[in-house]
Amino acid sequence: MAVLTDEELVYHAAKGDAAAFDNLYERYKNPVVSFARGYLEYRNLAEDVAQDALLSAYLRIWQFDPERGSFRAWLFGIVHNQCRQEARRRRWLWWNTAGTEELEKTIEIPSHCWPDNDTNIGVRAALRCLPEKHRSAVILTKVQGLSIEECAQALGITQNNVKQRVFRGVMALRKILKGETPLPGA
Amino acid sequence: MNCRNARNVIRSILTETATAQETTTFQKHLMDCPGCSRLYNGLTETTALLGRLPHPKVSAEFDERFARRLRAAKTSSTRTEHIPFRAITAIGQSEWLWAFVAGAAVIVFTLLQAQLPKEVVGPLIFSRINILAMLVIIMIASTIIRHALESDFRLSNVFRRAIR
Repeated sequence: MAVLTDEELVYHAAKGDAAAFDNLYERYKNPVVSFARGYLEYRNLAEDVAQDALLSAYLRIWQFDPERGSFRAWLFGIVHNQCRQEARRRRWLWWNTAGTEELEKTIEIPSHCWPDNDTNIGVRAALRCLPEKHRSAVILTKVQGLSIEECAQALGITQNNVKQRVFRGVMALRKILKGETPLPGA
Repeated sequence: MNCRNARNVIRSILTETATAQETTTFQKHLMDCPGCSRLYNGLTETTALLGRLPHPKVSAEFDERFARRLRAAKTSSTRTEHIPFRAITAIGQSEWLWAFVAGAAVIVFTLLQAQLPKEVVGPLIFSRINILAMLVIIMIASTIIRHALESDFRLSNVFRRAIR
């Protein structure tokens, strides 16, 4: 049986074919969790956000328009928005003393407790030190392998902007990994 | 090629948009410029490290939890149904009540002003208090719309957060 493309699967899933969506889920669950994990600090939080994003994609699958870009870019756009919302919510809780208890409830095992080698831990920690807009562009293009066009579509910015963010992000990352810029708390 | 141009080419190479000619000229520059060479190698290594980051494998528990949520979503009628202004229609009864009260307040405010003599109303319309009132109404409306676009919107939550 020929392997269906993402767009074909989306077409069937939008018509109510559960197997088609399951196929998409299997294809993208790991990359989506990986992106959320790179973006947010905690594993459980990253998984929750990834689940929300996948569910949101299921509920809004009829909104996907193949003429406007690839499914992958569309999906990562949703994940990125969910991550950004969660980060904003956590900032809100942090600033708001009344929300301290709720924040503590959500703090669970940090991502660096996941089985990983030292280099990867260092790279992930360095990634989290980047400004949000650079981090998301770097993760999407260099870790997830999206093209500049797809990344621009996912983030809702121009391609030139993506290039700039990727370049600056990788430059900053290199400095952090070389020890020229210390990690916070180091 | 000078170092400034070389930096631009590095950016193009990093984003995989460099032309063959640019790359060839850049390679020649690298042989003569240890500074650019160091920078390029450092960036290439960093990119390689990023590319080698493994995708975490999600647990079976993650799959089960998602399957449960998916089943729950399937049973609800929200999917595939295209509801225009869904965020607005999702506003609950109490929120409509608040909107009604705010609208009634604006109407009463306007009617009261209409009762006043023209020479008083004329300067009052553009008075500071009126402009201030409008700004407050716009701010409240924009807050409601912004929160309405979030999934778990409840006006009571907005007030609770504000009070905190």
